[in-house]
Amino acid sequence: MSNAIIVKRILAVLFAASLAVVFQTGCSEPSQGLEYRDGRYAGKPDTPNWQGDAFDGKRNWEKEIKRRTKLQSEYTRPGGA
Amino acid sequence: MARMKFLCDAERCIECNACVTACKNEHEVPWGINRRRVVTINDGQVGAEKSMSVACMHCSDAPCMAVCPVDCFYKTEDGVVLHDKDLCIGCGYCFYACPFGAPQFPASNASAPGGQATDWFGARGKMDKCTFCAGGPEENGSEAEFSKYGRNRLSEGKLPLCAEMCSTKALLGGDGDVLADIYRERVTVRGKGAEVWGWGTAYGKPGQQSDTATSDK
Amino acid sequence: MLLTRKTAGATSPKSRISRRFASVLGKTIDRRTFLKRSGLTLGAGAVAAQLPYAMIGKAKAEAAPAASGEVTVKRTICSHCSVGCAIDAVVQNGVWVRQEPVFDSPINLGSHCAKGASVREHGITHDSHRLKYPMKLEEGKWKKVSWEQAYQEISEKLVAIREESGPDALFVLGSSKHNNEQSYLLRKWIALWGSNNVDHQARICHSTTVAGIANTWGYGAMTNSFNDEQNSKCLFFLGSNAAEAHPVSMLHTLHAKENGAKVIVADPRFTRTAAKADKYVRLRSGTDVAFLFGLLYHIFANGWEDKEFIAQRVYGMDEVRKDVMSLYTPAAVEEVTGVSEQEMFETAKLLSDNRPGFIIWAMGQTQHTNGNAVTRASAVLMLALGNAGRTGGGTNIYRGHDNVQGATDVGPNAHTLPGYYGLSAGAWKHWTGVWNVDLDWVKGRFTSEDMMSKNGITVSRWADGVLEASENIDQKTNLRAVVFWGHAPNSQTRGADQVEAMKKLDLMVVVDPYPSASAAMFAMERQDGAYLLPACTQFETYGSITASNRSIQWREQVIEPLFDSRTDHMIMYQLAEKLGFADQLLGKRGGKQNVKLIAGKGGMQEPDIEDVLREINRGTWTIGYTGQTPERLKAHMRNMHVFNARTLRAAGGKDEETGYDLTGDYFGLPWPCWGTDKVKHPGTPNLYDTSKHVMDGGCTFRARYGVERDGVDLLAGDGSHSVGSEITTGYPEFDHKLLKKLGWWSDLTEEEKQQAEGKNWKTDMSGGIQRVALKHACVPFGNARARALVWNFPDAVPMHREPLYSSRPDLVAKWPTHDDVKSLYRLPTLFKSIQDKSVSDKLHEKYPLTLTSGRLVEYEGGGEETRSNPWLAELQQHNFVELHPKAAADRGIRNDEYIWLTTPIGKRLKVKALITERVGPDTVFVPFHFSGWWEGQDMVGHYPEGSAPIIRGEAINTGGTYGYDIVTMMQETKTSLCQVERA
Repeated sequence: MSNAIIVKRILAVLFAASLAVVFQTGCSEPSQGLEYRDGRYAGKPDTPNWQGDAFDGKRNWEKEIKRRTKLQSEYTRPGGA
Repeated sequence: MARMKFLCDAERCIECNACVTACKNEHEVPWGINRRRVVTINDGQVGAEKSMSVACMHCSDAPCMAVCPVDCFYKTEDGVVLHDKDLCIGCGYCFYACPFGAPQFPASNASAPGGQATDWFGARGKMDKCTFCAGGPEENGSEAEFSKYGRNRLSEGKLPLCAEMCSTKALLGGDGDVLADIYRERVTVRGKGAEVWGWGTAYGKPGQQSDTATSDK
Repeated sequence: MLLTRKTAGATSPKSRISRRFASVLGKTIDRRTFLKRSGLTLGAGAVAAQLPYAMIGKAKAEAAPAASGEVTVKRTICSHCSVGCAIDAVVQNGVWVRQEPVFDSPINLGSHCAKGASVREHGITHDSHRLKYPMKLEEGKWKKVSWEQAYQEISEKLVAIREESGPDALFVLGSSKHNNEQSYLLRKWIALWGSNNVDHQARICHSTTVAGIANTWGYGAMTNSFNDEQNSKCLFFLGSNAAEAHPVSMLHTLHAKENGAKVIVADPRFTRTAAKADKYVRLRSGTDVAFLFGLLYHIFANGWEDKEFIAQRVYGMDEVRKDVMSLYTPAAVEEVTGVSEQEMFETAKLLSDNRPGFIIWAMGQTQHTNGNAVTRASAVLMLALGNAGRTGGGTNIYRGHDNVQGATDVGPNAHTLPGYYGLSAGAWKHWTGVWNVDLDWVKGRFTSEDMMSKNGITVSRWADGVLEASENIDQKTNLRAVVFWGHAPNSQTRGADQVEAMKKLDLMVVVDPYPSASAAMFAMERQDGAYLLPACTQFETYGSITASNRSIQWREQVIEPLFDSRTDHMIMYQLAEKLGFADQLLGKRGGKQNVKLIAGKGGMQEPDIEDVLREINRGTWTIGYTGQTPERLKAHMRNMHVFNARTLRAAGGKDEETGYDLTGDYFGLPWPCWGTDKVKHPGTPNLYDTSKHVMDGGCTFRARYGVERDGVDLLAGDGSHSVGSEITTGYPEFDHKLLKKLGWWSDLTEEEKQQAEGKNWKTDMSGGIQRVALKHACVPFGNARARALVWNFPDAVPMHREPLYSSRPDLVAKWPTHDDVKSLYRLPTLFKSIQDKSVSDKLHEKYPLTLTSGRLVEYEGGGEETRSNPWLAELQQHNFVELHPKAAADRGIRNDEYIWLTTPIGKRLKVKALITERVGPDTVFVPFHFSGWWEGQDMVGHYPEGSAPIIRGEAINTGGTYGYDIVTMMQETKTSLCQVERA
């Protein structure tokens, strides 16, 4: 194989690779993952739902949400099943 | 705790529209906007009619969030996808992107209390969608949050009213783990076992299929 | 989740875009898309501007209280249907701000349908379409008047009419939406006025059920409960579209299905309920008896009947068997119903293989000229299968309005006083005693004593009461004044004749939270002569209501009556004051007063609802409304969580507030709750269930028709009795003689003996006879056989008879209807002459489509209330006719086009066409909830300003035809004829 062809091939591969890189990063797509920094939520500012006097902490709020979700099944009612 | 999710059990949905009106009731959404709708396929076809309630699915990888030119969307810790109406420019790109048709745009100017035209529903219309009853960026439970986004039930330890009021408990909404447990129990009772999600169930031949019409269970 | 169709066949377009265009390409369209497209045109303009977002802010501004205020939660019950879903209403500063689900309720477990999820709208005051103040029709327009003026003029007119024509010239259309106490007071009210001319929606809803079933086995009510369906193996829907009419009941039905129960739906339409069926059978409208007996044919032919049950507890099955085997052969049944022998056999086998099972019905069975026979045939089917009187099996009759059961039980019926006591001299003696009213005084109020025992005119024929030739009516004169007290006109057939009647009326009064279509229909033709009085909704008052499963629930008052409205019982009292019987209404006589007055809205006096319930408790022994005191009911409502959702029973529990022990009670103390509250009977969740002790809710079939007939024993067989019963064979109903014969008379206390002497279990005011019977584990109403043969009905064995307007003259010849009746409920009632004329006029050729009407989930009843709720109205914006693709194509009709629907009485109704395969090619379906259009013309100008419903449409019953049940005067709205053509 001639040098020219080898170089062309290498350039083609490099070009394809660079395109792949460009397409992978997308067009400045914002991150979809939940952003956490130092163990705390660091996304857009919005008061978390578990804050406030009603629940005295995140764990209690989560427990209440789980309990309430279970109410959506009639099987959990005594005699519902 | 798992992400918040919706799940609508099409075996139970009877298209009663309780979810639709519960949402309108709780958030006082004006005429013409329905954050949640019931979709029926094969309407009137013997043995094939199925209904399902659809609203924003609060996707883990939300297309609306990906395409918004002003980046007005955000995701809360619980996995709820919300947006900021103050930033929204009403371009409708999220509407293009969403596979469920969740973003809604009002057809006309609805005025807020006090009589002045607001930006919440402008001439082109700020996008409005299901918030999983989690309000928006405004302070939880405030007047501003209610008038722009509706009620924030999650901050009260409650769940979306549509799911809580579903007539047959077809629509489930809440902690994804608990929902999976509830649904798994039903599926086990129905006797489909592992096949409930399978290719055979969705596309397979008659006889491999559902509990309706030709069951010999 | 099963989202895609499993069978190969016509593929459904996969992409969103092509689905959107599917309808344009001529395929059938689903109802949602159909309405979404039509909705956008209406929603954008007028209405959206009226509905600002944050309504809370605006409401607060009007009420002018501080932004933060005391928050209370009131527990109430949805006012739409008889499932009885509980609601927690959150009230802040007197404004109803939120609505929360009640997960604790054993009946609905937090669930609602669209209507229940939107009831808070009743408390919203801005942009309300409510009737806000009294109005009078003057020069064709509705003008505001004061309550005083309205009362004055109405009472003057009524008194004048009474003097000229007698008290029977008044007819009151009472309400199934009044609570128990209000409906009871209304029955008293009309009795004190001096007439039996009062009736309510039950007439056109389940009157044929009540008559048919009560005559079969004792009580004409739902035998079990929605919850009990969880214990069933087979749920057979014939004439019920529960998914739209009783959506929350489907929670229990689908739970049962999930656990292995089979769901069978038989309906001329493939309804949303049918979409959940294991087996769907399409049958011709109006052929239910043939269908049911066709099933029985296979059951008898294969020996699948429950022989022991029949031998022990049924009378007359042999005669039924004879008819079934000879007349309802597979070939005959196929000819009549259109159902093949194979399908009939499979359905019968499914029923037989899966027991216990229910048959479930609503209007599909009742609204026929032989409705009384259809309901009996259903009961006979259950008896034959041994499915009656047990948990998981029976006749689950789904009642309609929120309190139609209670209103039927103790309220305004034309053929009986409260509690089904009838109108005999004994009944009047009993009730005037309970009311503390002088019987002779009451007699003086009536035109004559024999008018007291004559059935009144029915709600379904009030128009004929006005229009019929006076000599043909069995009362002194025609009707001259009509009060629509919580009743719509458009749910009744022959709307055109109602308008004719309105032209002739001297006076029409509408008492309703909404003006209702009556106001518009009247104003369309008249310049004056009508008044509208604003009653408040059930959320603005309190009281008890009875759900379809006979459980009684107590509503708390959520908010004060809005605008200038008043409670119905305040209006009853205030009118009674003007008409001269206020004292009698309260039972004030001889130093005693049964019902005290308390301060209601604005300090005005109104009867105390709790006192009224106590009076009901004192007098209603027949159906056991005696144990459900306000205290017990309220304790139940406060402690809903202790009741098991499958059995409805409380395993334990004590009410914190009163210390009442809930152990053993069934939720809502479903009647019969025998004896006084001291007996502490827990209620009867499943009727006729002999597997339980009577004090555990056990029950037998009622002994009502004597001990024997033609030598055949009518009492239950030896060994058939409720658990623990000291009498182990059949026994008649309990009276003082029986007690003495049994040697149980000495069990009565001295006081009880005084009152019980000469009385029976229904008339003994001490309750001692019932108490002693219960003490010996016997059921007070006896232990008899159910009657498969009802000898006191025109057709002793149920019989198929073609509808009056039948599409099959060949079948009319083989299965003709009844002969005309000279006088039924005071009016001549035609059958044969109508049917013969229909055949001779060849109506089946001019009107080849069978017309059936029914319900939508978003609306209820006449619809003016729900169509005034924007959250519901948005979902159904046009009245429509469901048309099969063939029927549409033959007429060149496109989907979503306006068409003219014409009926044999010559009316032309403008509705949209919805092309769908739900209906067969020869049948069409139209919902009956719409009104506000008349033959294509919008009647908005005839409503009071600002009070027309948001959505108006053609009322199908405007063109409704004649046809009434021969026993109860039920209307035949499920089967008629029509033609459609492009507009």
